[in-house]
Amino acid sequence: MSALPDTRDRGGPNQPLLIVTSLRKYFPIRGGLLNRQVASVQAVDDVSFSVRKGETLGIVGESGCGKSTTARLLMRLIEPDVGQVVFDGEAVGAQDGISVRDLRRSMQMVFQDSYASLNPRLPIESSISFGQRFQGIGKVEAAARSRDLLARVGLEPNRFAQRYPHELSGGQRQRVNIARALALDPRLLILDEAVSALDKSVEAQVLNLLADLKAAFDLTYIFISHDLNVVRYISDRVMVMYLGKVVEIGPVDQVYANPRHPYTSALLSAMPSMDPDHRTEQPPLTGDPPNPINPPSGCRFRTRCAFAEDVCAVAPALTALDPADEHAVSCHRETAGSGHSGAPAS
Amino acid sequence: MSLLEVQGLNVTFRGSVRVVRDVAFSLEAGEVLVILGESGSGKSVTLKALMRLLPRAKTKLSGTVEFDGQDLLAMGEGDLASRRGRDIAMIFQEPALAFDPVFTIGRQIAETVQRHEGVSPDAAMKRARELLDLVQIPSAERRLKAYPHELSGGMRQRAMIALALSCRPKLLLADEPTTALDATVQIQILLLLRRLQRELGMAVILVTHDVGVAVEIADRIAVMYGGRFLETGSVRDIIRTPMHPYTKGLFASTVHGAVRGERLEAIPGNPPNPAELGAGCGFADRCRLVEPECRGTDIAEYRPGGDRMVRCRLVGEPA
Repeated sequence: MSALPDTRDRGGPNQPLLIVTSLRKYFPIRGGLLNRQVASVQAVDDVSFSVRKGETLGIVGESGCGKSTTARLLMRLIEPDVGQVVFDGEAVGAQDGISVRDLRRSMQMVFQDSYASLNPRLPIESSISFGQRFQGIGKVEAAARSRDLLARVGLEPNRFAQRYPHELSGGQRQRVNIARALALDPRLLILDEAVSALDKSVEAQVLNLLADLKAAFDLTYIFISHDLNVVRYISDRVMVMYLGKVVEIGPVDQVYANPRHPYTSALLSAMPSMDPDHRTEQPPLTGDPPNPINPPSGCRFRTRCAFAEDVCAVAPALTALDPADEHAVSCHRETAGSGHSGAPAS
Repeated sequence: MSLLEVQGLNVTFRGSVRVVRDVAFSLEAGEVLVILGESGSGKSVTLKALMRLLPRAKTKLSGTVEFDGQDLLAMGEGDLASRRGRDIAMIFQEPALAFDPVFTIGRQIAETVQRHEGVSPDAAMKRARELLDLVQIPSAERRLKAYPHELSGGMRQRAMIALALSCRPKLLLADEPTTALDATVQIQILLLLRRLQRELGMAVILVTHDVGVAVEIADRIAVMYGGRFLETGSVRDIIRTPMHPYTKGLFASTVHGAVRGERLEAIPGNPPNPAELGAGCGFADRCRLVEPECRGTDIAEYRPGGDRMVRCRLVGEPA
């Protein structure tokens, strides 16, 4: 990797790898006679979190909660309306910060649809080399690294390097996408539903591979999924999103064992029981998630929440539950002095 | 007599690709069978073959599918058409594709009621209204006049269940009915299906890749792989004491309850391509216990008792 300047650890081990502050993205909806903006999809609204070096942050939520939009905003595949992203101490896109081009070398993404992510007309070795060539690495060196990476993700280079995406199975294609993401020696990998489309028996292989690569390449992961079992297995901390807002964040064992937001509780109890003698008897929630166009005012979950009170018409802030600032929840019922009848005494 | 008796069902695509191989099972009235399998295992094709919904020019069907004593595979198109939707109904993974986008939900349900029961348009619409209530769609009166795109995913799936139940079928075929739904909606639809199945005494065959879904709803489970049923039995037997190496591997590789940091016990390799599968055990290439005898000749069924069936040489042999 001699052609690339050293992008590794600049801020030291205590500097979070990623700090996201007040990220917001509204997508305008145009209509009417003059094609004016008539509404907006509030896809991501005031989202703040940080990712520590070497950890795996899981992001869970249902469709429309903004988890994929968050990922795209981090990669700058779309521009945020408001908000700041700091990568290892350097503000993204700022004068004295890190450029988007450099950021994309340090941060890579793997998508859900393994076939759509690859150019169908390129042999996979060329797909893996493409980003390196774009970043100025010579042809021979890029090809050699691509073959090395193929071996690292478990695809024998001599058999696979010249194949086209349609000649591979879904699991193999996802391995190629992971190899390509690693080609520029990134530090942060965003895995957006990266194992969701795979069969269960193949999913386990890819999860094992991700664990191996994380250790071998000293990686940090943001793992986005709707599958709570997978997130529990792979994550150190988990962030729960609902309609564009963060409702709860904390260490994965703590959040799963003792969820504090009513939505997190509902999501966890919606998981199948896996025991034919103790089947789920009551659905934890009724109805579908509301449309992110014109979401409920105040707490966005209050239209489906069993504990909603008048005070919930005011949006709650994400508040730490313990002094160590590990587990935070955005719910009046958990915030002392909020006025909610179930709130803890201050 | 069983409600449904399937014997030697084989489906062949384009003359040579055997996607369903010697599938046999019976289903009692009011029973729920879940066919559990990964993509390409032949589970959806099996379901469609029961209703003869596969394109005729490219598909060869053989075997017998006796429903109420009559063979659906030998029946004329006209007879079959009158049974589809009346005695046997089907729901799909993507309700947005199953509804016609240019007619209202109410009209589409009423049309089916009229077609099979010969009632007046007004009576049919009244029945449609009752059906929307039955599947717990709020403000049913208004939703009758809604077009499919105006409903959310969960509501559309409820509406499709209403459509399927419109003629009180004895058998409901469900092809991954909750796969496209969010977690909190999926459990609602599963519980709804379970309640309706019980109240209406309807038999159900549900196809899924999700073990969790199977456990929530099944009386019996059939594990399918490479076009064959590898193992069948009651939901308790299959979940607690899986016998086939594939079933064991499948449960071991699901992350449910797995400890973070520990490696998952993955099944090596990929699911087979049906076009390349020969005789012998379809799982042989990925099986840790494989022996030379597993290949070449088809594996006989082993019945350890009850209605349990396992198709593995190594399970049937004395220890």
